[in-house]
Amino acid sequence: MEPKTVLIVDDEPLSVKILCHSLEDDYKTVLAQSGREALEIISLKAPDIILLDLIMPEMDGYEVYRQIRNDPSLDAIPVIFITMLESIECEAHGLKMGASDFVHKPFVADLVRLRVKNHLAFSQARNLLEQRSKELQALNRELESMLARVKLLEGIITICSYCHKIRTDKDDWKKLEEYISAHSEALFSHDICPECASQQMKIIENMEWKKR
Amino acid sequence: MTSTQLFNKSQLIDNLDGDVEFAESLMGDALIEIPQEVVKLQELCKGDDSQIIHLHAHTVKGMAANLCASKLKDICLKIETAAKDNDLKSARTFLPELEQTMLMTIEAIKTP
Repeated sequence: MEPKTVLIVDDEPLSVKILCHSLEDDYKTVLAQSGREALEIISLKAPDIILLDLIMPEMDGYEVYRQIRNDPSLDAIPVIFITMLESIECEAHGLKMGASDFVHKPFVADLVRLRVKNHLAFSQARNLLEQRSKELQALNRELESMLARVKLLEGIITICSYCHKIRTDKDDWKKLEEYISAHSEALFSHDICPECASQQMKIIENMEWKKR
Repeated sequence: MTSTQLFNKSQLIDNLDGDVEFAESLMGDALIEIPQEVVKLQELCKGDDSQIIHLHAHTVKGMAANLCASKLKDICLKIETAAKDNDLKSARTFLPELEQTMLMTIEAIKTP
């Protein structure tokens, strides 16, 4: 199985080196040194998870995050913010925006790996749940449609005792086969039953006798 | 000031899964990167762009934090905070301390 892709967005080289070293045995790591570069990479191929530094020149992590979340196709990608350990203000703001989690500097390699692993697992479970939910909705729609077809032929149907035409909801009379065709999946092919065949044969013979 | 406040090597190694080789590779990078970044910060402090000073002080602070160089991290935080408050006069007062701390941190990293 192809390894999951982690996009690391940070302009500080030592941070990038530590994060890559912590994750490269288990994941494919992709690097961006600025918010703009990150958005370009994401637009080409969405990663499975993003580690995003908050304080960067030109475009900060909050703006990158806003742009990612504005795109419905990227909405489900977990984003973990990178902050300093004591940045309570940044952390609160990030959580209000909907960040998945935080990794703090100084990085502890084991904690970074565990956070990435957990959020990838949550994301996978959520995707699976959404997929199952879509499948169930499709099955439900199919079932409802089948039930609707069954219901069309339920209840009391008025039939003419002589010609066997059926009275419709609009109070007009339709041939039996026409009515059944319109209200079910059934189709008709024409044939003749032995009894009718015998009767018709007698009529024909009678007509020929009269001619002679 | 204790030597671990300048640079806590054992903490760095612990943070990196006990990988001494990788820790030493980072220390080698830091010996090049930190002086360069501190000089850049000093240069920026000669100008009036508080936002860029704030951003750069934040970058050096992050480097110092990751290296477990807490004294350097603290002085960078002071400059970052002053620049964020647009108080460049205060930010500049920390520059001599920044330079001295950077030199002591470099020495601590070099010390076996």
